[in-house]
Amino acid sequence: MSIAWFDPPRAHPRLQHHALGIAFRHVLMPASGTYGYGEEFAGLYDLRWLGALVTKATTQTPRLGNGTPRVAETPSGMLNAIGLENPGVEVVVERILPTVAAYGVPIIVNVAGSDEDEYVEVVRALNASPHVRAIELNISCPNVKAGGMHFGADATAAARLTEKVKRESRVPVIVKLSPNVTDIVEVARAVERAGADALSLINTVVGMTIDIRLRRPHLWNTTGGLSGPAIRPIALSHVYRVYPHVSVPIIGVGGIAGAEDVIAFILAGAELVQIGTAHFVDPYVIPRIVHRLPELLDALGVEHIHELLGRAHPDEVLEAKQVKNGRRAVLSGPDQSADKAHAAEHAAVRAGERTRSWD
Amino acid sequence: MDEADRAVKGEGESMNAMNPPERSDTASAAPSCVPDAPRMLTTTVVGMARHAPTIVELVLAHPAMPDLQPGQFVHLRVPEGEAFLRRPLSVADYDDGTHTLRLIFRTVGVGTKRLSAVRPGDRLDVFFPPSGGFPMDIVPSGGRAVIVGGGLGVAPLLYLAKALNLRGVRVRARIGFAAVEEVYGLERLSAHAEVELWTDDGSAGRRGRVTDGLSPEEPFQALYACGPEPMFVALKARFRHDGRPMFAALEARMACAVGVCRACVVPVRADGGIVHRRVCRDGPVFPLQSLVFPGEEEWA
Ligand SMILES: Cc1cc2nc3c(=O)[nH]c(=O)nc-3n(C[C@H](O)[C@H](O)[C@H](O)COP(=O)(O)OP(=O)(O)OC[C@H]3O[C@@H](n4cnc5c(N)ncnc54)[C@H](O)[C@@H]3O)c2cc1C
Ligand SMILES: Cc1cc2nc3c(=O)[nH]c(=O)nc-3n(C[C@H](O)[C@H](O)[C@H](O)COP(=O)(O)O)c2cc1C
Ligand code: FES
Repeated sequence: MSIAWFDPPRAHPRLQHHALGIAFRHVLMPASGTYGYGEEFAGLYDLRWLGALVTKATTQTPRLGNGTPRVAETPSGMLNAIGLENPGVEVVVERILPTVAAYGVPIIVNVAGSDEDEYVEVVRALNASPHVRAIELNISCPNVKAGGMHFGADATAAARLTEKVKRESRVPVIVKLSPNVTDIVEVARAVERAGADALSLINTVVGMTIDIRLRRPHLWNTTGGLSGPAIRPIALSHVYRVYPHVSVPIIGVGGIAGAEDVIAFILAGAELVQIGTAHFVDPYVIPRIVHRLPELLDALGVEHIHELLGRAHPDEVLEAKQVKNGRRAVLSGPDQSADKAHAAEHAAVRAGERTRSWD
Repeated sequence: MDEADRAVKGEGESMNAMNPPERSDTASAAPSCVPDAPRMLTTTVVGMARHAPTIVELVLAHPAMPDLQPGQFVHLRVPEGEAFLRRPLSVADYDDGTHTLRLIFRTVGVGTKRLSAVRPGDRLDVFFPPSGGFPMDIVPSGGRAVIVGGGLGVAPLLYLAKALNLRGVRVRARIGFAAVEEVYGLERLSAHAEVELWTDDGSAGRRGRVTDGLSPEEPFQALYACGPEPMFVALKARFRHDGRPMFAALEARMACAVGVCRACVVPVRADGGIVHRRVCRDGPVFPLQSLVFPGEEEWA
């Protein structure tokens, strides 16, 4: 298998998708926090290998994050407690996004805050950037004291925040939900009613490890967020459970490491997927999966990947979805406007130069 | 000639010495491995030796290996998925003619234990992070450099000494180990540097800490260090008011090794404040005096 790392194919007709006003070259994107703001990966391959770029969580002011150790290994996965270290929205808007925009990939900014006001301030500041195509509201970070998961754990708080952010945001708002709740369907429906344009399922699962010799937790933060293949079944079941109850697109995330995993999430009802921790095992994972998917689609006997969308559900669910939605959920064919957008973006790209990161 | 050289040449003596396999570029990639990418290669183990019961040297080859600088590290996948995350190990030597890479490591846990069980001919998945290395231009040809290494920290300094020597720099190396059984790399280092050996118990070389004999009057244009934290703290204190360039290669717990996850940050003094720098991307080599260690009063 040879892959043109620095010269990606112009289109992936069997994988492309149009949602949230964005022409996705294909349905894969990196998960927030596992790709920085993209600059480091731009030295490894052409970022047009991505369907979209999802940034690290961005807060109003710069944050130093937690103490170390910030990561620990677990069976088939890892724990992280980074603590939302980021340079703050001002630096992101003024210095980082203009650079990253030149890579020619739609940018989705992950937003976090300690309280409603901070989320709103970040979203306002992002409105000033022409490069932001969507916002992903992180109401599910388990590693900070205030904010984060606190919002995601309570349907009412989550809905109120979503509503406030929707009122401010110039671009579509994706809400990223936590699996650390009693009933994820309730939260999902609440934020959809509050105006969420899409849902990302799921953020990390709270966990910990203990150093038995030192008799204390490995992580400075005591607990962290579990990610990687260990949580894939959990993520898959959340996508599957939520799918019948919402009409907005679902972005599946959790433990995806190969083309088969992508298909499983599509079958469970995810229109798009994100890949996180797998980048740490194989930094080239997204181009590799994109390269391999057509072969897998052949084997599965479908032309476009969305012919499989939600197909793990019983017929009643699929029929109900169609009626309820009144929107095209499957079979997104070639889209003229999408192709035009691609062409424009390609023209704008000056590929691959490594740039200094913000710090 | 060191143990692993004998191992590579099949000359015996070392406990695990084996004959090297065919040249790596003639063999096809093992089917269980993912295909190569510019910075991620399926290398072949062409040599393996044990320097001490828990200190192992691996020699890896691949025809497309990117150029590696002293101070850089590689990120290794542990075979058979026995460890989930990759493991960082410093480049102890790199030969750009034969495209062979040497790693020297201590077996401390599940990952290094499994890596110490590989055999010549086995395949190892290696990621080559685009990290920084030791700044060498700072010492002119004919100039002097001092190298200070402790324990496994000596590994990257072996390659550094060779590279400096090749540039015409006179290298004085001070290396320290716990005891004689732990000593490695002495012969190889002696080929490129004037070496002073220290052990904690005096079982080889001089007795004491490697930093003990180091005086601020020592002539050098740059000092390079790698070792345990107390060694850096001692060095930093000893040369506090010395303006000459000094560099320390750090370790940190990593996940991505490309600079995106921010697992590996260390506090560094810059612009009058404390900032976080990534060991994997901004490092692993930092100006010694910029580092802030937990034990130091100024950090409190
Ligand atoms: C840039 C860099 C260069 C290094 N070079 C060398 C070298 O040349 N020789 C050598 O012997 N060791 C080196 N180390 C340390 C080496 O990476 C660890 O000893 C090794 O990862 C331990 O893995 P394990 O599975 O055997 O241990 P475990 O204890 O089972 O590992 C568990 C986890 O802790 C991490 N970990 C444990 N100890 C360390 C450590 N000291 N530093 C970073 N992560 C650690 C592991 O990567 C893993 O994620 C280096 C570390 C870094 C960051
Ligand atoms: C190191 C690390 C940092 C993360 N940072 C963020 C973040 O800033 N914002 C966020 O919404 N999710 C963050 N996540 C969660 C991931 O985006 C993703 O939801 C989760 O890891 C599950 O996917 P995976 O198993 O593919 O990694 C982070 C995950 C990891 C491993
Ligand atoms: S290990 Fe991820 S930033 Fe250094």
